[in-house]
Amino acid sequence: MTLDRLRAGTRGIVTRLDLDDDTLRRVAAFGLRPGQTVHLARRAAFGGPLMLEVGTTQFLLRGSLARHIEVDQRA
Amino acid sequence: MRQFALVGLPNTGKSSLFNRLTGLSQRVGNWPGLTVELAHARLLLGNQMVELTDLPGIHDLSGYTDDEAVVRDVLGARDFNALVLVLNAAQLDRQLPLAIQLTATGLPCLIVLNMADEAELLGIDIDAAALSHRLGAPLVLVSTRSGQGWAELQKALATLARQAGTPQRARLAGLPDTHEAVEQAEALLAGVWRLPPTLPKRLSHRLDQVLMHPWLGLAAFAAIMAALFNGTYLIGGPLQEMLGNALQGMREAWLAPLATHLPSWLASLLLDGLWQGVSTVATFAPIIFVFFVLMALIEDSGYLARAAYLTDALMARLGLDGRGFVLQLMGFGCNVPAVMGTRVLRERRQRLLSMLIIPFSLCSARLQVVLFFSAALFSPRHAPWVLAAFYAVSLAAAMLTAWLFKRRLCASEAYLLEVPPYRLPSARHVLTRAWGEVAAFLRLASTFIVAGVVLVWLLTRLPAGGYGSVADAIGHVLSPLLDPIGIPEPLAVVLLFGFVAKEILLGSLAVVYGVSDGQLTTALAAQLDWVSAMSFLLFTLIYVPCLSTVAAIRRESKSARFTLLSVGWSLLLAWLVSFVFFQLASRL
Ligand SMILES: Nc1nc2c(ncn2[C@@H]2O[C@H](COP(=O)(O)OP(=O)(O)OP(=O)(O)O)[C@@H](O)[C@H]2O)c(=O)[nH]1
Ligand SMILES: [Mg+2]
Repeated sequence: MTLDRLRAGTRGIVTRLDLDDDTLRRVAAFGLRPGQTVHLARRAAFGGPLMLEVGTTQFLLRGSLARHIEVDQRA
Repeated sequence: MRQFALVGLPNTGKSSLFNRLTGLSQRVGNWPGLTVELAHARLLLGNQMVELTDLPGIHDLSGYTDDEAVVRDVLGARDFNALVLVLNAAQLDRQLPLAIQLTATGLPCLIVLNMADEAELLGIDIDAAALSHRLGAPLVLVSTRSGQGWAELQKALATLARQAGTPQRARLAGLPDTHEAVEQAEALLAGVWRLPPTLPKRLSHRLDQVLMHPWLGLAAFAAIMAALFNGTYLIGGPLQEMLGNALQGMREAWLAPLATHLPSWLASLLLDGLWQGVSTVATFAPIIFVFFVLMALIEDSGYLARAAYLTDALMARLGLDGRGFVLQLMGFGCNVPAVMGTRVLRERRQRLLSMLIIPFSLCSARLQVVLFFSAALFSPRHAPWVLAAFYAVSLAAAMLTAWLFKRRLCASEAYLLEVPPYRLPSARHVLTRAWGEVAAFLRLASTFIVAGVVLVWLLTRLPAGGYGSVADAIGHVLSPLLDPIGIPEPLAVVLLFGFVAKEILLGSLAVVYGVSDGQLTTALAAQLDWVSAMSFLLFTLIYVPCLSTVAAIRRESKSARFTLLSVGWSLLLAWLVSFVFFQLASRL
């Protein structure tokens, strides 16, 4: 499933990123890359951004971008 | 002299390190925009003089996005003896790839793992010696905040300065790309940098339960913003008045008597023109100071990222992001610091779009005018509603503008924003930051305002044949524009004064109607019908806020064309709104 579908408070493992090179580099700088565990800490109201945690880094990402990132849901 | 550069990801503490090393209080942004100037300072390391350059944060060296381009340009155009890489020790998993790329540039590197205090708090296990060995570069673990590891850092820097050969250009071609760098970093970190299996819950998480909560968060946001505006005007307002009175007193006590010996035109130019204009601008200084103290507190605490989270959904529809909303609200205090505050945005097009809409924020200066008019023309029962309606018009004008221009100025880059843990702002940083902003504002706005003031003075003094003064003539010439929006000709001069600063507007109205400030209320009610008055107010709200704002836009955008667009658009929109209002209302 895609990252934007992940339930708030759960984790997933990134499996694939369907992004152009430039965006791929930008998300990699926040630790989003295949094999990494992401924690979807919370989701803003009205289709606002997602707050993600990778390792100790917290960051915002819009749902429109998260739709292009595939994850395997974990407990 | 040796040349060192501080490089690293955003928010790793480069500027803090720079300030602590050099003892400087130079303001170097916590969230630099693209246009942030590079900061330089000289310091003695061991027995070598070194010039240290603080660069904006970068994410990646192989990218070509705007913010990375700045650093690439500097590294590609200047020779350095060494790079000092500043990394957040608690985030090495994502930060080390940049170090891999930078060590491959061929320049000697010193790796500084900053924020050792936070890494320790999180229970992160770091084997600094082993990591240094694997990287093949000296490495120190420090905390700029607590001073931990500072002696080792000084020693490492001195060694670097002593051993440095001739300065070289960084080799930027053939660097490992992001993918390679990430893989190498992962291998390097295995076994020498370990996160605990479960991270301890931090205070930050608990605070965010409230501050990022869907509706509690919005309430807290409103409360914090209200505290920001009210705080600015509760503290800054009286200070502004005191300064204004002091300057007025100086004029009456010293300058006016001195000027009696001058020819009257020169005395008028110096007193009514220059002194009046410059001191009007100067009285903004306390407000700007207080505003930036509060701003720096909010900014340094890490709260802005939370505000950006809460408002992003709305702003996305207007081609902006959450940070743009924060700036728009700040404009309600004063547009000038809000325009300066666009530095927190990284992308130039987003900064421009933000700068285009900020002037529509009903600032405190225009609030005075609106309050004055609504008190003069409406019953006490209706006046508050008139004021509320003007705030609504102000927001609507900003949103309409963003919506209209978003196609041209919309940012294309992925919106990714680090949400740092809350940090306690340092008092020294907050105060020096605010003072730096005031100094910059006074330097630029005063040069700009001197020219404007002299011009306005000339317009109202120079006789122009049968029309009285040039200003009268201008009013006459502008009447084809002013008649359709119901603004009487004499008020053209007032709008000209208002272009300089809205504070002068009420005073110049008094001049036009030949009464003192105190009697203006009655004069207004007698001479203006409510439709004309409202049209005048709408125009006043929407057109160019003041010369200081124009100067700030010019300075921050570094583009005369964009400044013209901003001025032209606000004039056009003001005219259109007043036109529609006047034509409809006068037909009722
Ligand atoms: N806890 C802790 N906080 C630190 C330390 N060093 C810096 N900070 C804080 O980290 C934040 C970012 O510091 P800056 O010096 O502005 O970071 P920067 O690298 O210049 O950031 P950019 O200019 O955005 O690239 C500030 O709030 C600092 O107070 C440290 O050693 N420990
Ligand atoms: Mg900085």
